[in-house]
Amino acid sequence: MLTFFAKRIGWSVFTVLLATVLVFSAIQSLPGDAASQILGQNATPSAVATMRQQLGLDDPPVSRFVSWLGNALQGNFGNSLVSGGSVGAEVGSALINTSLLAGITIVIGVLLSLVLGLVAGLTRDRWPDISISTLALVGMSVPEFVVATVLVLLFSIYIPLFPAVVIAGQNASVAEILPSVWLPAGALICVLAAYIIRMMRTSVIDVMDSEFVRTAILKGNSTPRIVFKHILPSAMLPTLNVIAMNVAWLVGGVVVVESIFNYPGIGTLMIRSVQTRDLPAILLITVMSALTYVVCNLLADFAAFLLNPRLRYPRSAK
Amino acid sequence: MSATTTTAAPAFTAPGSFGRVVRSILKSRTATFGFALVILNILLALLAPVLTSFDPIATDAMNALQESSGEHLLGTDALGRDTLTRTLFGGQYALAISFTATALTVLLGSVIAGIAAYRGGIVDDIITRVLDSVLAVPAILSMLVVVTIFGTGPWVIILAVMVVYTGGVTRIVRATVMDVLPKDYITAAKARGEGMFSILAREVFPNVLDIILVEFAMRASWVVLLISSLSFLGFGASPPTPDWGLMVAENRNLMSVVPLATLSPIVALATLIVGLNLAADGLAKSLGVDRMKEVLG
Amino acid sequence: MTPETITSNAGRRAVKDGDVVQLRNLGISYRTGKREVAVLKGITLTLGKGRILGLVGESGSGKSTLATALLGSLRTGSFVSTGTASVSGQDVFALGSKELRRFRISEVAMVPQNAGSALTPTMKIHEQIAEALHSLKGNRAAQRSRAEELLRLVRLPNPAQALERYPHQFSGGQQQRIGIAVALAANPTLLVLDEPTTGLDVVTQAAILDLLSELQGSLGMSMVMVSHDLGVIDKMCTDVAVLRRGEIVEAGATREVLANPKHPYTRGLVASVPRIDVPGIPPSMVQDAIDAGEDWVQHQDVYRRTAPQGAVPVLSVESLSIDYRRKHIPGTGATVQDVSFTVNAGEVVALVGESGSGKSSIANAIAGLQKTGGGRIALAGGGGAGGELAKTVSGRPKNLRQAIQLIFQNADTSLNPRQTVQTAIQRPINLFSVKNASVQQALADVDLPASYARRLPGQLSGGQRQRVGIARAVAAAPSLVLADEVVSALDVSVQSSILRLMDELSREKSLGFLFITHDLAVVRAIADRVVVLYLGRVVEEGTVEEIFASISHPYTRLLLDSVIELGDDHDAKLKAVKDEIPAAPPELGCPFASRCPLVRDVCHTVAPPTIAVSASHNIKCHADVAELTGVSAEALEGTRTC
Repeated sequence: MLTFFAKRIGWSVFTVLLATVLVFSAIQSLPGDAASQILGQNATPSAVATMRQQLGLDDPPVSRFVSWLGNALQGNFGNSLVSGGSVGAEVGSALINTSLLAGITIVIGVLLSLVLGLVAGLTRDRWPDISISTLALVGMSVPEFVVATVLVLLFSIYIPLFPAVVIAGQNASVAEILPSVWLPAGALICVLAAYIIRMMRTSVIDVMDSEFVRTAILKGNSTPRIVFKHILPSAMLPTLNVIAMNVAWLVGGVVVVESIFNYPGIGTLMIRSVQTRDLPAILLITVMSALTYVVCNLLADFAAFLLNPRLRYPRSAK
Repeated sequence: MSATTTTAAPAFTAPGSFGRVVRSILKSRTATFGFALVILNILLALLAPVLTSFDPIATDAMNALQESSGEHLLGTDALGRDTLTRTLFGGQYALAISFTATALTVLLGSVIAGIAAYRGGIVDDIITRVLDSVLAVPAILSMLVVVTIFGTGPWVIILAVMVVYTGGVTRIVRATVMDVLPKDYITAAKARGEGMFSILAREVFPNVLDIILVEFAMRASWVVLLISSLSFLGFGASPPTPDWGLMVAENRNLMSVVPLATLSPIVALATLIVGLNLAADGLAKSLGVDRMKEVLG
Repeated sequence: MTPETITSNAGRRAVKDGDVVQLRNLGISYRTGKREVAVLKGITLTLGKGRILGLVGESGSGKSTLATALLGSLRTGSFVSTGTASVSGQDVFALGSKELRRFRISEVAMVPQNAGSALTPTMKIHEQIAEALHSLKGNRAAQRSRAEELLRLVRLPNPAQALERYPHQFSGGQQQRIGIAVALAANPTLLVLDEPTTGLDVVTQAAILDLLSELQGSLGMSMVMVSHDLGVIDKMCTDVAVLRRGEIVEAGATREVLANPKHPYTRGLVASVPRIDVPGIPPSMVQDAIDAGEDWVQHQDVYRRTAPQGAVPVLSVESLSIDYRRKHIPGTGATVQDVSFTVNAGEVVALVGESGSGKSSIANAIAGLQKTGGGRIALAGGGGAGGELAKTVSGRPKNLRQAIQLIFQNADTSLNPRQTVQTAIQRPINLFSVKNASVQQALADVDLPASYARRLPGQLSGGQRQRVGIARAVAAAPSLVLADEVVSALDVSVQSSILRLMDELSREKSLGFLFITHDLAVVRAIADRVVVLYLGRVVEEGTVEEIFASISHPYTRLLLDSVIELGDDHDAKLKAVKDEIPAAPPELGCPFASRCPLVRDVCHTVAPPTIAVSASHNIKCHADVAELTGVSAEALEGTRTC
């Protein structure tokens, strides 16, 4: 068990590191750098050169990456090339806002889609399944910006329940933001749920076709017992990875949705940082996204470990 | 000597791969409907210049913000451009870029998957890990970075799609190839001393073609989604290109004035993606296993 | 076979009061698209209390559908088209869902074909037994002790610990025992068993069947047992129903039906089973003749193969060893060690062993798909065809790759489903630039019409696919063919024709066959010489007559005694031998020492010497020849399981 997780954690660290290297080297090849970006088009060459030196842009890329990594490990992610403030603080406050949005989305979205997927699988090809599957298909087929736009139209313009955009700034408190979370969360849930529902439905159907569920039925078990003891644990297993994937992809969806609602989160910050080529900010966002990805996958592995006795008790322990 | 020789062989002919796929599409109502939607989209995009007499780009301030009328069936936008025309031409852009990007991605992913699965060991490990790291960066961030580096030409978008999705395709195809590799016909080919590429091309890929096709249809829908999201954010097609994502971005603030200008590209986008998804579903179902075998026996 | 040989069923309990199963004109169909396919047609049968009914048939006969119908269960898409099925006086297809549940709880239980996949992988054994103990609902302590009792009843080692384990922690045989325990938990009136021993090794199969006989004797329930194996049916069942294409062609008391089969199909089935006591290949069944109502059996006899004259070696394997272990594990030895044998031109040499015997590893090493740890493999042959086989395929010259060809067990996976027969056979011809070879010729060699070249594997039957697999191997003009369990997945009616084909090819083309199998009856039918493997070591080697004669290695004897054959005196056979093969071979001494009835101290430390019974017959054992002569049942009795 220890080696099982040690190995996975090792690979996760490697994955995050590699992802950071990939983005770092990609940004390196950007034409035009932050110095000229900051000073604007009318800056004199000497001013740009001084700026470059101040920012440490003249060092070779490898040594810059190593020094960045060394600082990062001490919790110092550098200063924003644009605002000059600490990137850690900037990304941190954006991250808190995004976590609120993502947290609500994940809790509601995952639970809802597991239940819907289970119901669809159990009622295969009958009306509950057909309606749920159709809904999931629609969810898959409509981009986040469309869902968001439609939600705004419905719940903000026609029935003014929620604010259409967040007026609170980057440093707004949770209480200030909370009312404006629901619409973006709704848009994200639609997109998140679609794939989880489909996967859950498929794996419930697969498990229902299995020999052991047939046997459980022939043993005269009650339906709830068959569903919760025999079907659910095995059906959850393949779904876990899809949940992890989708939760990690949420970061991508967040970008679009946040920009529509002007939500002061990591997505809005990401777009701004890319536009201004703010390398320290982009790198930190990359690290955070990659961390989200590997943590989601680790959690999925851990859940699989708890659900699957084959992993907990390998065959050799006979 | 046995039953085999005494039975007169009925005239069987083996259908080619193409015939088989077409037949399975027609067998499934879902797939037929899905493909019909996709083909409709393609036709409308190709025939755009014939179907409308307006210019998708030229502005016409006199006719700005019009509602649906005999002349402008779906009205006009803030710059007086005909919404129907722009929606039809938008299909050209969406379809050409997404299909090329998807095809290249699926091709590259499949080749990498084949090599990784066949070679196994350290080659497989390295390929899997590197691609996993790419997957760890959110798709939209990877795309933003690629677009920021290379600008916003169509080929850049295609490259960005490949960066983002090759990993996913490789993952799926690799798993399928792994299922095929232990089969006895592969063992027979290995024992004959066939090389890796010969085995992959002759024995493996014909058997994972089904999954690749389904993968294509599914990925294409994601690519259309992603590209339109990118345009919507202002990083994809640049104005005045008629692009669906861009159109929604340009017009959504005027939704209470000319809703059709926003809704038309949305409906077009949704039809295309629903079509692709239905095609993928139907294909997957009808290319799947024959359930009759389970019943007898 | 004479009626006298089947006497064993007389002793079995057969209480007669009231019929447990009553099927009247039962028909079950399956709907696919707009078509309806009949799976079962007009099934009428009854089964008395305490009796055991065997359902025999080949794949596609509908026997499994019939078995599950007794529990009121149909596959999705299937429906009852005619008639009724009543079990314990209840019309199972007329029951409401609540009543059906009650019926399944109290009246009937099923032991599925593969307990490994029929036990829920995420639940502990005690939970799976407990949920069938409906009468003890809520009383956990009582459930537990009853569960433990049941596991003891099915003779699972360490029942108390087993309760806390998950299904995957048991071997196939143990899973089957647990499956039986779960079925017995509800104390059913009727127990339905679907191929309960298929897929298990012969020795394990014998132990499970003995257990079932004993349980039926002591508990007195009725049983319905599905099997394709006439030997198993003969041993277990009081009654038998023979199914063909969804219809019962013959039914009655097992003894009568199998001794004097009336229907041509039953006669065919009985006649086409290879047996260990009858040398030679049985006649193959001609389905068309049966359809025409002809009695074809009279026209065909058992075919006896003659071993080739003059020994021209093709393959020689010397002191081969294969080791999968990354590092040395104390107490265990290499997977394959010190294996030597030869195959001559035109000869069929059988490599016999159970699962884990290393037989497939050896075949893979010869084919160059597996690295060897030591020893020498060489291909002899004139005209520069010979050479060392030390390297794996990628390092072997073309002529060596051409000289060795493979045919496989599973006809379904041996052909690429997307390639036509033409493409599949053409490939080796082109690759090796074989002269005077064509697809037509290769198809003719395996008795298939040339028109089959255009077909895909999906358009062929199992036997035909196996022929194409053979044609693909033969088209390369090899000198040695490795045949891995090539008939074990085929229906018995097709088996013989494939064996006959191999015989023909070996004679006409002077092909050497290395025939890998676990099935001794098939060995008896086709082999010229036999090499018996146990845990990767050769324990005995000799001509086919010598192996099946009275002087044998104790392991060979165990294998021979475990074979369940039609017409044996089943009650006289020894019972319940220790059925578990150790996971790894021992480091020192004789591999069979842990299960051997003749074991002595020296067996655990010193590798056994070779006893040369004759010039061609060698046995590796510490015992002396006198002890090996017909190792008695009493001696083996000592190795019973706990």
